[in-house]
Amino acid sequence: MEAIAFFMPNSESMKNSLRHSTMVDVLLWLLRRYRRYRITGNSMMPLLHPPQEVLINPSAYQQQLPLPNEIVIASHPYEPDLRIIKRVLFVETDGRCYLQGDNADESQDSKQFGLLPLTQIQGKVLCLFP
Amino acid sequence: MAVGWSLHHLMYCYALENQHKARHMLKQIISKFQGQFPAPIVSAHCDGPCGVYDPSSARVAAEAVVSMTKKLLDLEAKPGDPAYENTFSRYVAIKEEQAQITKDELLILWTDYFKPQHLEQFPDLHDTFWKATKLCSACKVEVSAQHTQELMAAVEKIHNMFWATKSRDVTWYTAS
Repeated sequence: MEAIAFFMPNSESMKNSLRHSTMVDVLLWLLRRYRRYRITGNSMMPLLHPPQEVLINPSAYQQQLPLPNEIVIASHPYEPDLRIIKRVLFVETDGRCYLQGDNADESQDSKQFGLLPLTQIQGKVLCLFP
Repeated sequence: MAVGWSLHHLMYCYALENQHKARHMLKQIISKFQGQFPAPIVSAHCDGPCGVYDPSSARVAAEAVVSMTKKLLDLEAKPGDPAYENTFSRYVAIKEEQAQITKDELLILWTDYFKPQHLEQFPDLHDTFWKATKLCSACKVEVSAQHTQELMAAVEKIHNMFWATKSRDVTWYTAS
């Protein structure tokens, strides 16, 4: 498997934090540049607990590929109406992403449904809201 | 100089305090807004629905029940012979296990895949599954070739119902 980047899972400090929204984030959300989503389920614990909300940038990947360790929202490949939130483990050269839940033992992710094309990624998770 | 510095420090503290107050107020307003207008849901489910269902897993297990039942019926009884006792026990154990797998797979299809709208398409859906899962139990309790064939027929019926709900023409087949 040829991957352009690979996330090293032992960088725990990066995994355990997600900043809170700033005034600028709130402003961009009010201007509809960012979107808010509410978490359900435990696969991103301990970082994200239900019913926390997050802000995402839907246009974050229009000019660039996702990077390893970023948290993204994607359409489930078998349930188009279902949005999932996962962490990018690595990105293939063709742009397909391997997604994984932080709580890997209890997550339905790329280990079940394989690599996800970039078209399935709906945006980058930026921060907790508020 | 000292007075200037103190004034500057005081203004800085005042601005900082106001900033904290503004942030606190903003958080309160957002929290109220969140309560009134829930955000769309994004799933981090531990067993999020993968949406992958196929009655073939039930069919393979049911075929094993048919095979083990046939082997049991064909087995020449040799009471007291350790080899016979061992083979007999193994056949029974496998039949029991595979009948339970069939039952589990059917129950997953029944409870997780099929939806109320499918009941409109197949009004006998509940009855079909209820009888099929009862047949799994019967195949465990008994050594009945007839019931294993009835189980296969039930699984075939469910196969046809399942693929009809997906508007796909998937031909029924068996591995054995």
